[in-house]
Amino acid sequence: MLEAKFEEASLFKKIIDGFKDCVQLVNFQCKEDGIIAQAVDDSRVLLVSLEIGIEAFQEYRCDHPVTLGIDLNSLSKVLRCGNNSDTLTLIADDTPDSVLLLFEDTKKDRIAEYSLKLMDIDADFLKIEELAYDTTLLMPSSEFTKIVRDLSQFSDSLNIMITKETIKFVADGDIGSGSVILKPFVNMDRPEESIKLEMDQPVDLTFGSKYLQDIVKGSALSEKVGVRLSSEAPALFQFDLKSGYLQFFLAPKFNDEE
Amino acid sequence: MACNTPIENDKAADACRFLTFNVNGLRTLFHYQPFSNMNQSIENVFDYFNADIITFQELKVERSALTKWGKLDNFYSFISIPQARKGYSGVGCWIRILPKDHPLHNSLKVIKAEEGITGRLGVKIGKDLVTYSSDSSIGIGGYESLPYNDEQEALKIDSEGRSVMVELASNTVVICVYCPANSTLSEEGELFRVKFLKILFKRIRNLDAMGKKVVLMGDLNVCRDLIDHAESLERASMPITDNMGGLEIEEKFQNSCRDFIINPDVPHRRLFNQMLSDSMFSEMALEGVLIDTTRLKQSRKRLKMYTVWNTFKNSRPANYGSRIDFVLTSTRMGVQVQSANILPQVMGSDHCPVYADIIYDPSDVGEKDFDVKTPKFEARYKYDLMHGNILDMFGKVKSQSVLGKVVKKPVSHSPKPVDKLIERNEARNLTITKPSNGEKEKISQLKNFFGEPPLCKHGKETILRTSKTLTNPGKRFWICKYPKGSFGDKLSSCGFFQWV
Repeated sequence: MLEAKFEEASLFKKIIDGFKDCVQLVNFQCKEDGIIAQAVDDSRVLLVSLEIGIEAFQEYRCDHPVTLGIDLNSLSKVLRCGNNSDTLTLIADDTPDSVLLLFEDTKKDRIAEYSLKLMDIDADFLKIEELAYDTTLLMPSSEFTKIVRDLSQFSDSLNIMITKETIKFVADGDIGSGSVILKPFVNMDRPEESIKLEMDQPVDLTFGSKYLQDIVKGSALSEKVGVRLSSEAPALFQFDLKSGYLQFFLAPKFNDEE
Repeated sequence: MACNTPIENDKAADACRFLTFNVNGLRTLFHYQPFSNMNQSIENVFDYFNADIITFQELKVERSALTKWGKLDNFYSFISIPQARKGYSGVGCWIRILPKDHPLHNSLKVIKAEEGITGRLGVKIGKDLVTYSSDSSIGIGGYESLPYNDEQEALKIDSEGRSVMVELASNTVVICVYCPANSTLSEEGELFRVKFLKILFKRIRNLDAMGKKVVLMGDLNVCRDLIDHAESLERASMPITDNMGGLEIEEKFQNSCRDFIINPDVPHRRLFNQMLSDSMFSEMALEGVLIDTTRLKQSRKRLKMYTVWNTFKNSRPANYGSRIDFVLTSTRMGVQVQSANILPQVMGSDHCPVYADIIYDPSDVGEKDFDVKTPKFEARYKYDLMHGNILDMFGKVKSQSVLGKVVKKPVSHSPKPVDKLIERNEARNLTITKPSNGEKEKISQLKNFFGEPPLCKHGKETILRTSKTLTNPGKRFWICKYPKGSFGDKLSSCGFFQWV
């Protein structure tokens, strides 16, 4: 039996909205210690990895591990039916063919119940080991979103260059070009606005704007985004939850010439 | 992939299989068996046909969807999509990258690739747009005196995602086309169509004169002979008996057959025949440079060899269609053709695939291995798909086909797939053969709402349809339940018609 209750439906909504545009069919693995999920986009460039720990829930109970194969298009339809401030409980039995979503408005005593059919999704689960990164950057997610959206207008590719004390984003396209340069700084009054940079090796990587635009949809989850880059490994973009995270692993573009 | 290839002939090791298929929407193709089991992968489709050089027309994909279709592991992809209208037209050409030890490894190497037929389009090299016709290192050549008026017209003709041209190391130029149809029968449409064909054919003659071997394949939207056009055969109301072949028809009704081609109302048929060295007009055949591989191998005797059927009239079951999809080769390549046929049993589109197996002599290209740079028009460069594979980056060795396999079906408590299948079929049969009393009543009520259906000339009950013509909108009528087919076919419509 799985019973997972979110204090606010909006949290789960934000999580799903954070990656529903890049992947469609996802296995949610519910275990004693929380829910994890993983999926790769059709073009096999972007991998999404989600972990929702117990502390992110108001109540959580899962006696037996169950896998919920869900079509995110259908799930977001159901999620649109609930109000943001409702509590949301996911309920499934041990061998489920559907999952129940219960929205409760405690003030009005309104209860809405939806059942969503599950699917058999045959996808492998990748064990992601801690990778070695050359550079780790922590910055406000709103700032990162703005840079990605602004520069994506210029080109299909976005270049991220990090040297000792500067972080440079560049887009060069048909209509013109643009670049944004940031420097690490600490804001004592508002620590969430700080930009922190840890660098072992300078990096110069190019990513598809389309994928970055998908990634920044996760920024509703957290005020900060962690970006970890390395010339060898896939780039990691991470949004933390109260407990758990939403991670995006993105393969960089090759150099244009063979 | 467990599916067997639909082509029975074995392909020789030194044969290259050319296949053309107007898929009428690449996404919708995967809704049909056996493609629905192929995990949305066009590589699986190509393997299913065991084809090496493939062209699909009417891809109807948008640029954003090319991340999925434009980056294949074992094929070069060359894709042209319309610049203005989204999700319309679109031609792709895929060339298999053969393993190094394959006899045709060198023959199928791609030397150059071009979008369009005029050579006025171009590719980006560094920051600059270089047009094919201006740079012989990227252009295939044969641009002399193409019959377009000005640059603007040329660009317009090539802006609709209708043609892709690839030159192989074996001195072959593969031209993949989706020629304009004139479905609205407008004068403007006909002019555009004729213009397109004139430029295309002139380009082919130029290439031929350069000594290139040309393979023209795709949906030409032109029917070459009367025997390939069911409607016209019927309209000519010729007394055709069942044992008559195409040759007898062309002998007996020479005038009708000739008129089908040279009728001034259909200039495209004459243009097409002027290119064919196997045209029934000997004076055209003399000037022709291409040979129709399907006819070559199937002979002129074979009738009803159709590649497209009208979906609205449901004429495919009665095989009442026409033949407008071709694999044509330079005449001197005719001897290399091992086999060629149509694949009418393959569903998924209103057209069916057409293929030809062509033998190559590997020594044509020389023994030694050589490297060629992938043309910039390859979809990876053209559409900026140069990403790493995320799974490879995690050092994942499992094959992708295993990984992506998605079975879309609701989870059942006790998975007994075979039993379930039978249960479902039984249930369906039950409702059809023995409807419960209530249902029966409902059906008969509905049936008799417009009175008992009259019997057609077959002696069978007719079906009810609603008129959609301007003169009688919404008026109902009875017609024979069989689809439109050729005259004399018992399983085709008897032509019965009666207003309710």
